[in-house]
Amino acid sequence: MQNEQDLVLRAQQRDEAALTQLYEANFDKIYRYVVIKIGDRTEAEDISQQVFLNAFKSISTFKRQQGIPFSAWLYRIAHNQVVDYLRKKAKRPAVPLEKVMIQAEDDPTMTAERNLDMEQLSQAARQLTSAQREVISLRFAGGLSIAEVASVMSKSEGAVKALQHSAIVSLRKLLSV
Amino acid sequence: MNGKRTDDILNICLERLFLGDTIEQCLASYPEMAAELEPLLRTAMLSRQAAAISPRPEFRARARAELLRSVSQRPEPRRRWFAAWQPAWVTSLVAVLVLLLAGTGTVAASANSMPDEPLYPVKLATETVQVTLTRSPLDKAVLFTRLADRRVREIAVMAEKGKAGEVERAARRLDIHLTQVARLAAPVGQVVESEGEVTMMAPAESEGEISIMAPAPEAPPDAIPAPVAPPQRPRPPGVPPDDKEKTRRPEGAPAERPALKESPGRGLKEQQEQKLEKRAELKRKLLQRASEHPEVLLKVMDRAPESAKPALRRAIERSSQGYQKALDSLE
Repeated sequence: MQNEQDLVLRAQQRDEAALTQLYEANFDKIYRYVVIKIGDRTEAEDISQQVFLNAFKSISTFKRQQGIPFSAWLYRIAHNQVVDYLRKKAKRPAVPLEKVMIQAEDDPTMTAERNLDMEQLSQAARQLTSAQREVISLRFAGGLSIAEVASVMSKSEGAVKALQHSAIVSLRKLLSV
Repeated sequence: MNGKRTDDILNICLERLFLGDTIEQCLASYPEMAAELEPLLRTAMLSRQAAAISPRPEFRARARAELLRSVSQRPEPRRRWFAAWQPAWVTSLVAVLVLLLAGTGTVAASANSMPDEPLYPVKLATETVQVTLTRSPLDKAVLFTRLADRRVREIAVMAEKGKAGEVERAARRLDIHLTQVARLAAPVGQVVESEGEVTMMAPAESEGEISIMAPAPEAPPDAIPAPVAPPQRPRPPGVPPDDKEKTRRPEGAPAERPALKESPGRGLKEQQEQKLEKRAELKRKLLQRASEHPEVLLKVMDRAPESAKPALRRAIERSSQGYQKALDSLE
């Protein structure tokens, strides 16, 4: 985290190397987070790029003293970006979840061994509550710790653990794992 | 079974799986909960594996290039209102007015203020006035050396308080002061490098041609380095030399010192001796501080909180390099 703080200070001075490092360290995670939430890889690339563009434009306003690490700040920007995107796409029909579940039930003997793909996970995640989906996205796609998720979501660690538990239980049912 | 305990144990197992343990190893630690945990852990691991995708490499590279280009093309972040609009002389004028209006009491009170204190901008403004009112380049160099002392004290105090941002800003000011010392003390034509820029020194004796970077009042975090005299560019073919260029010595020719005005009662030799004395004194001071300042800051390193140490390390590095640069320029 200390390194991140260093990088951010340098990035605030438009140090290109620092900006590149921040990008390299976070881009894939942000991308995964966005994919899980919207289920479209191509759109996720554009949204992730926009997240970084917004972040780098306003990086001078970021202050570590506000109590959140830079990565958490990035996820908040990503969250807002995704909300905007979903709002605009609200009228687009979603693929019904039954499709996913039927696929899973086609071969029950393979269920435990099968490879779940991102699209299936994303579709299942959309059936969760928004808080559960946020925890799953941040934990499994973003790779954040419970403490970091708690910081992003402004919740206690206990609440995040409970959400994580209930989200996994729901995912299990939805995916018939 | 206690729900909170299950939340905790599930999370402990997940952390272990993320670190490389197997599901079986986790279940072995909690045999009484194995039946409940096992399907949840499998679901979690499947979900995590499914989420482990990456953007297309070509997109990733293109996006990075576009981002960096976009950031570099943006106008410099706005400086604070006081520094945003003024040429250098306005800074000085405003500073003088501020000092007159604020009164000597405020100025005196600001002398020992630190960067996190309200009177610090007054301290910087006072320094700006001092720099502006100092005429001789060597005297300016001595003044910048004293200002460097202040910056080092500020770095030490801010580091002990754990204020990394203030340490960075003070270190930047320190670097600017030492660059100015190098610039003012450098013989004609010497090149001094400063934070990625290369600057041809203005003739040290020609007052009025020296680019002076007074410490910016309350420099923002995104303050840019001191404006410096641009490197001389070669004259395009066919373009006649300007007056200044006509007097510029040809490459390789011995440096010509501008003729010194002989003041009444003092010979040229006496003035030159005085300058040599000043340069020697400046060198002594720089040598002393070059060893003292890093030592002072290294001692602070033991007491400073972890959050301030990287900034402090960079400040030490800047201090060492800055003094070296200044000393080199005197050689």
